[in-house]
Amino acid sequence: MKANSKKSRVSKSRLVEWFQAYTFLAPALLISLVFFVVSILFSLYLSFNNVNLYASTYSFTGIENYARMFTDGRAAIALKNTATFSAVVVPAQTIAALMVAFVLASDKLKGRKMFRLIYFLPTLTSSSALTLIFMFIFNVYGPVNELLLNVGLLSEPINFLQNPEYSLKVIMVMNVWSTVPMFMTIYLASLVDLPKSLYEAAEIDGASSWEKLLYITVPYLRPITTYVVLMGIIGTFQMFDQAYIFSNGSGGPANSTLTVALMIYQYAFGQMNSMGYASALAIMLALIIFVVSLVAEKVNNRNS
Amino acid sequence: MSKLFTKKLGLTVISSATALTLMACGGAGEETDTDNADTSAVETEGKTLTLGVWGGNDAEESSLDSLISQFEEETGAAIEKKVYTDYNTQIQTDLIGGTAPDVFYVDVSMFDFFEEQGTLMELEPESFEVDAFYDTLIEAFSNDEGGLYAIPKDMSTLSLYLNEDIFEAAGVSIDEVPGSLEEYVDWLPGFQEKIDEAYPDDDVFAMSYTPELSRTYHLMERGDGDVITEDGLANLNDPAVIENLQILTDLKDTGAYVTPQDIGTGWNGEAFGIGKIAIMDEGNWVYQTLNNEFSDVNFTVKEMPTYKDEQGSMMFSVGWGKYAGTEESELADLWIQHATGAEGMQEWVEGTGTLPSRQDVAEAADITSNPDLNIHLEAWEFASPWQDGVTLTTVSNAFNNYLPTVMNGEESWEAAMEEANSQANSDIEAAN
Repeated sequence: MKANSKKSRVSKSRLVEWFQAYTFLAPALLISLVFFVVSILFSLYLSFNNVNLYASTYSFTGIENYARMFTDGRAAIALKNTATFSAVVVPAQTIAALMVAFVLASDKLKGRKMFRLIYFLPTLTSSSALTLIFMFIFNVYGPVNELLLNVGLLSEPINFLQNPEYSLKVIMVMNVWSTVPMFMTIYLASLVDLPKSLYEAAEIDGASSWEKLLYITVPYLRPITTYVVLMGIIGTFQMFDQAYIFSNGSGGPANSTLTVALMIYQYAFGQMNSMGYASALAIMLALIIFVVSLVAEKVNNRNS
Repeated sequence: MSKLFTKKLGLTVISSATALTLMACGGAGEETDTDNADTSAVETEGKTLTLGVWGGNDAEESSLDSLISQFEEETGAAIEKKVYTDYNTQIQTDLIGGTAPDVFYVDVSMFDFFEEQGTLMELEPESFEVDAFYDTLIEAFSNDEGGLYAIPKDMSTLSLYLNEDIFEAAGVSIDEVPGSLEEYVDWLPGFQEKIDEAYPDDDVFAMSYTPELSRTYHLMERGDGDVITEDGLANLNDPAVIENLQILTDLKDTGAYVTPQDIGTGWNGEAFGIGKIAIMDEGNWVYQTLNNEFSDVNFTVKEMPTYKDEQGSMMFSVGWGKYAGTEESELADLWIQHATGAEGMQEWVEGTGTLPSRQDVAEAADITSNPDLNIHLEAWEFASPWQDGVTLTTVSNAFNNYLPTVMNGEESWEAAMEEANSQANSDIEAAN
């Protein structure tokens, strides 16, 4: 380095650049270090201990917290609810978002800006307000039951909110309704870049709208779909607020709206000092999301 | 990584996390002198006291602010108000992180937990005129050894609300309302029929209930019923408890007994206020709501119906507790004396419409001359405080979880309570 002055100048300016870069990165790095890295490590530590945070007592219990999950019937129910929820909501919201985006991207549609605005509105609604509105719509004497009774599909109203068979389904509908606009916008942004010539060429070959969607739009949007599906999986597996408001925190009726995230909350902030178990559940949830996301990505890419 | 290091690291994370969002004050575990015999000699000028509260309605906010400014004037100390938006999680984080306020709201149902975790400092009964308070409430804020750890700032009880307009439209006199729940089972169908005739196009119902343990607890405890055993275990499947619960399904079977959610409303007050419910049991907090937001509704308040020949109701209360790690112990005592003293409490209850926790204030604030509120006040004698050890939340969660399946006719009490009970007890046993 001493022998070559040119090289040393380069490395000096590199050093300045390096310094600048890390100065700008520092706040973000610090925040992720404290709130992500350290928190995750601490949570991992908690999951192997029996914890009382008030008294700061930690007794190492090995994998006891993890073993408890497999004998805990509620954990199985929570996982089943969450997985069912995800399995229904993710495909539904992805397909719906894609269809709506496809239609709204068409030049032939009049007033599409207006439709885009209207369709985007659900995203702006807070999920607590949304939950209350849906609880109104689906109550025993509410509009949905009235409609079904009037058209003769039902002879008795369904208690959507208190019947364990229906309660999770109501939340599914609610969740799809509120997440579609967000994903629709993401699809739309990408569709704007789709070359019109592809559609025109297909039209000359006599392709219908449906064929254009299936053979041009869908393959073109595959990378976006990967993103949408991953976000969907993560979002649905972490679903908390709607289930919490719907069941007033209990996960009822009969554990039908108990999600893994709600269960973690119950154990972490209950009065039983079960923070260790809550941490183990959280770590397990993270692992499950990781694996499911990985599989979904692999499947989506293999199809291309 | 050594265990000790990880532990310290973890504590740093928690405390820095809380410190970032909340004003820090006082360190945990630094016990200060609890002796407060001579409060007049306390140096208060220039000191700062932090109060931890949750956001109330406008009336509560302004009453609290007024109490605070009086205190600041009298003592020369400054008060910082820390308003929790999610009390349960935030106060726990603060207590664990050692950044809790010097004095904070303690809900009666959380009291046992806070006390057991050592987060509250014991209070000297002589300094707070405890003899003036309703003894049920002082007991509720004392531990098993009789140590006093919080002073109730007010209380609420459940009473029966009758919508006079619906009664009039249905052509039923309010005096016809039966005195016992058992009689309701026979009386409700006829009443509902008359309501349906009066409101053919609307779904108006005779009576509502809130499907939560915090409302049904007193019914379940009648006779030999015991919801939680002495060891803190759930006892929901006990035959006596199930026998007591039977009345709820009997009432439901009349077709005249619904939840506010059933008819598309958020809570009793709203359902009653918009004229969808003729009879409800609700706490006195609804009294102000009805007068302010639904002022066109004519209503009257009655005592809760008896069940199994016993009177009963629920009692809710919030106390002022002193943080065990406070550095301003004497100032904290002064604040509690100020807020729960005869004058302070009178201002509070008159401003907020809550009930006083002191008998002398009930008379001074002239609550006894308001027949509606007086019914709530007199219920203190037989009402059960919403408190039953540290396992109450767990049991309550399990009960609320399974209650709808019975009320909806899918399961029997025996089957549902068996499931709820084993859910609660598996958690309780795992924690022991």
